[in-house]
Amino acid sequence: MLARDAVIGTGCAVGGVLIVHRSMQLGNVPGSYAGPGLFPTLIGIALCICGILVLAPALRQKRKGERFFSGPGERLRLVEVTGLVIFLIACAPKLGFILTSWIMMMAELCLRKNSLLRSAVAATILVAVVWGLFTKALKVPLPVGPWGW
Amino acid sequence: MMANLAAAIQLLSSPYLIFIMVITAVYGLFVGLVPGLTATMATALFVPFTFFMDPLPALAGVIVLSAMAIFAGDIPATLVRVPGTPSSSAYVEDAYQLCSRGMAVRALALCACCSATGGIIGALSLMLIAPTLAQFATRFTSFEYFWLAILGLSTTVTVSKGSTVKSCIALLLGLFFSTIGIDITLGIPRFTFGSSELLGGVNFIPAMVGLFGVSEVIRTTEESVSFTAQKLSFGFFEMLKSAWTAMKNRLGILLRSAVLGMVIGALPGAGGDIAAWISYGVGKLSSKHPEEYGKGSEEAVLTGTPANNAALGGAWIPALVFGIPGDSITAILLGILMMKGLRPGPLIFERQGDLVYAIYLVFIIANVLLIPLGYLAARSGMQMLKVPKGILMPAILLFCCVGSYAINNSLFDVGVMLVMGLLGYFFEKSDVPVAPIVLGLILGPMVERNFMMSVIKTGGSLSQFVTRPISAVLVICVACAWTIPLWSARRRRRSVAS
Repeated sequence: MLARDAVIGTGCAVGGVLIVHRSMQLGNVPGSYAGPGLFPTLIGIALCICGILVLAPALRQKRKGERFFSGPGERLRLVEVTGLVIFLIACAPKLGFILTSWIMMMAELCLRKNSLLRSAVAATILVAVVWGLFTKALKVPLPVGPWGW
Repeated sequence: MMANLAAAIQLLSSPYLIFIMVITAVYGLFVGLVPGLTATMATALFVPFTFFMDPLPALAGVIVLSAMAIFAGDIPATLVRVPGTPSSSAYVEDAYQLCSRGMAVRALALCACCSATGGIIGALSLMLIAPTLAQFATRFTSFEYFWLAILGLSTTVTVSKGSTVKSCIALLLGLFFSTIGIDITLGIPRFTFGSSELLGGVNFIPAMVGLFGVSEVIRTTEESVSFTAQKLSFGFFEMLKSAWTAMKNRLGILLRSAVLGMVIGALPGAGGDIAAWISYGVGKLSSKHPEEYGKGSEEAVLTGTPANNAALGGAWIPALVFGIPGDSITAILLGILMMKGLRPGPLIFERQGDLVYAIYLVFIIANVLLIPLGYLAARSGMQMLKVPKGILMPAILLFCCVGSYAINNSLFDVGVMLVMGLLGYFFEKSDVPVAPIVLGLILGPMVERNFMMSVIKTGGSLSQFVTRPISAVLVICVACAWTIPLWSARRRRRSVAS
């Protein structure tokens, strides 16, 4: 855990300083010490202190052999989920929700070791159910492509 | 009173009303089951239908759907560790750990029966002590709300498993995320980096979905199937018996949680999420086995579930007595009341006594209905565990994305969900609890708004934060919330050492 603690501690300490720095530029209510920057400043100071409290013991102790990922599958999962959600955000306004989410589901199902046929059937059913429930039952306007769906 | 009660029973015997209650119950269960959709959203979507209804079916629909949605949020929380609604996030770890140990039926039975009991206690208190409690709630000013929010924040830090400093980090990050957007005092954009989407702040629903749902999807690989063999079908009486076995020696805890939930629910702006957290915190502080909290404790589930359903009844107290909404659902509901020509306030008890009593009875019926309908929902939900993880996890990811999008119809919220998911994944790998981030996001605006209001009101003086009687009591509670866990941990360490 120590390397991770060092990363968290450093991140919080540096983040806290940046928050305080940015908050001090926000100004105050006229005639008062309070203002938009007060609350974030307090958060920044507290975050900085907590970061140091986590960082200090992590630096004092020797590093043990530690593995972040439990296996290659988990590393792949992190990259794949991140990539597919970014793909959905980037392509849904252009290709529409149905096509984008179908491609996303196909990729995710195939990467999870489902056969091509099983993935295609499951992706089609999932997208149809979600689209029907959200657009028809809940009236959520999901993004549509240039072809109207 | 008896005349009003008789008239109320007559009003409730309408088949149309029963039809509306059943339909809204199914709708509420569906909304609660989908991560990202909240009881508030379900109520808002239901409003257009109320245009064509009489007052009682409209109000009954809202009551039933909110009670069902709050309970149904426990089902995905238990089965896949994704809280359906924010109210379930307090005890999600315990419910999920019970499920992982092959006790999903017990966990769901506890959620259904405790939710119903909490809801009924909330309804009874609404009937009996509404005016008195509402009077008490009006004595809460910005000073008291500030301390109430701090109490909520304190309990989440002290009850989270693992290091207190790491819990503080998670909480502070949640509080920081809540400051993003337009500032409430001067209207200045804070930490938006020129993004127009960030002006509205970080919505806590996509954040919650990401922290619990997306991080779970990333972590779960086909090799990591962790559920112990589950019994997937179970009878109604088996569920009741299972719940009773867990509840029978803890009736005092159940009652305390429900009363606490109802009182917190009665405070305008507080609501079921805060009620569940505070009740969970109080439960851990007073428990004989606090070390089991967060690791699949039945007692922990029993402290949170009654509180959030009791808070629903509690929220109606200031709404009916003064026309002040207790939470976002009652705010919508007040709109429906006004639309139907009803004016909430002390006079409503005299002029529309039969309607008020009918509302009380609807609350009780909704919570009684929750047990059989909750059973059906839990049984259907259990089928999720039959689905291979290779299909279930992509399905959860899709629901998480669409649920986050549906909050504001914005893909930006899907981005927020992803960022929070990655943060949650990294934090859990580093033993940093993620639940305090959600509570920080929920309570951050309440803490800041009330602090700033108080400071501006008093011209910068901080003395009233501790000299007002209710504030002073809350300060003592906050001090206890910090010192008791530290003291008992120290005592445990000493006894282990000796």
